[in-house]
Amino acid sequence: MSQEELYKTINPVKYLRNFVEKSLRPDGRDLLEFRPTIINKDSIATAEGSAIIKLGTTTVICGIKAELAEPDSSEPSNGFIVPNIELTKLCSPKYRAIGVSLDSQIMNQTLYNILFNSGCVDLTELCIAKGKLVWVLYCDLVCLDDDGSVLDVASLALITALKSLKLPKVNYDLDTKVIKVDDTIKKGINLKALPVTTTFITFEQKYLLADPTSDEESIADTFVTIATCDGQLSYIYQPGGNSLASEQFESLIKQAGKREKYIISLLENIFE
Amino acid sequence: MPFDQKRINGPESSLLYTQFIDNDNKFQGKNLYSKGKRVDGRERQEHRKHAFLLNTISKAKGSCYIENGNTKIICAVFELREIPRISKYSEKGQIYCDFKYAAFSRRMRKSNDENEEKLMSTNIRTALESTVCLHEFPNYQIDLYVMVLEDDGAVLATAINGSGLAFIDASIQCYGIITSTSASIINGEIFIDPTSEEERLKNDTNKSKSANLTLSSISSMDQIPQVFFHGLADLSLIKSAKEKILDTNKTHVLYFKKLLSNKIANVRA
Repeated sequence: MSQEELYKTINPVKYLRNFVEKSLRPDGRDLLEFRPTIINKDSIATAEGSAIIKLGTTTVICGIKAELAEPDSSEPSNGFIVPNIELTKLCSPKYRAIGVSLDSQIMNQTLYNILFNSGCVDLTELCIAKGKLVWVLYCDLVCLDDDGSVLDVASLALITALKSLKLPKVNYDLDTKVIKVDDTIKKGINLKALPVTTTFITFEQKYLLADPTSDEESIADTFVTIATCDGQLSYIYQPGGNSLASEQFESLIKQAGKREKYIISLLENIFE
Repeated sequence: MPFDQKRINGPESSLLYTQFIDNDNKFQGKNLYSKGKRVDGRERQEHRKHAFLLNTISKAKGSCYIENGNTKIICAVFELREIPRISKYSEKGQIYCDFKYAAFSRRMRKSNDENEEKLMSTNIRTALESTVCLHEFPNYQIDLYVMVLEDDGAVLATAINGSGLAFIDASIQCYGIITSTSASIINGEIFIDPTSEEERLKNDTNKSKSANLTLSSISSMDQIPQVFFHGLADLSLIKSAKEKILDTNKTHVLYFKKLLSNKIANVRA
């Protein structure tokens, strides 16, 4: 083990403080700089929509399988979107080996909230025949490598996969109740909004770091996830920890807005 | 879909839309070997192109991402830890293998297919137990996590290849490089490295499912550590399939060796 790694293991807080005091991070980034983002769509042929996103080394893959179902009687023209993320030992040794860990459950619900808070998908687009037949989109996300900011990568994977989704044309005859699917015609769904999340951490109450790695996350005071949509605030998640001054908070929201613009421009490049 | 309290749930039950597609475009067995080539343009003996990437997961001790045609599998090996829940000291180490299909990896979405996953885990584990020097880490256990991202046939063979490379990437001592290939026997003919559509075909004559043979071999020894066969086929066909697979395995060892020596060269540089 090199001297640097030894120092990092013995006293991780002091290790990070040495960098942050000089406005740098251990991997050479500025305090509010993000790691390089790589977006790849239509990666999985067996899924109707898919995306792989990498933020530095954090990797999440999202695959959407579409199936047909009867809609809920209380909402007869709404389809279903079922997001589910799997955080297993494959991506990091800190997760439980078997079963659904607490982190997965929390992230599941957060993703669900971010998706529906922003009005991203109009569920009536998934309706084939009101009260009889709707699409169900099972969005399964798998984290392949957890090096911090998993929520950012997961929400981006979900949005990209939804954008790349191609559903075949379905004809439902109301009289004969016969379903006919035409595989040759494929159409995507219209996304009304694209929420982008950004994660920040505070370190020693004064330093704000954007896009933390997993080492930085483990010694942070608190972390804040902000989701913005079209420049508007869509979702904020801060699970306890130290409080933030209001100026810090305002600067975070501004940074999140800048990040959103960058991500949207990336997505526009891909979906030309 | 049974109600799972720990996940977000959709409707109670849903149907696959593929069953309602008109039959015109469906893959027919008759086209299997027409004009001298298989559906994807390969010869009968031809293996698909494969690609490997070592050390893909930063948090794992060793990992390998492997693509075999469209089949995509990722394998990760983690640090040694003491074998949990045993009372006696174990002279040999153990391998714990956890194999999972991603929910979107196959034609039908199944978020939990425990029995088949357990069967695959056992197959991979027994294959690797023969290559890994288990006596080097007594009373310890190595965790191997395999996840299938896309299933387009020959999953077991690809997973064993990937796991072997992941172990070597993790610098765990092995007796040799393990290589594995799959072959399908349909209508009396042998097809190396079948796609998922070819694997699903039934024999024309007696409507029984076609046979599938997966065989592994270790580079340094003239031994077969693992065989997995299911289906109905003539013994002579199985024998010739075995010979063809062993030949294919030998050619793959060269690729793997080149890949590993590149990795070491990069580390040195």
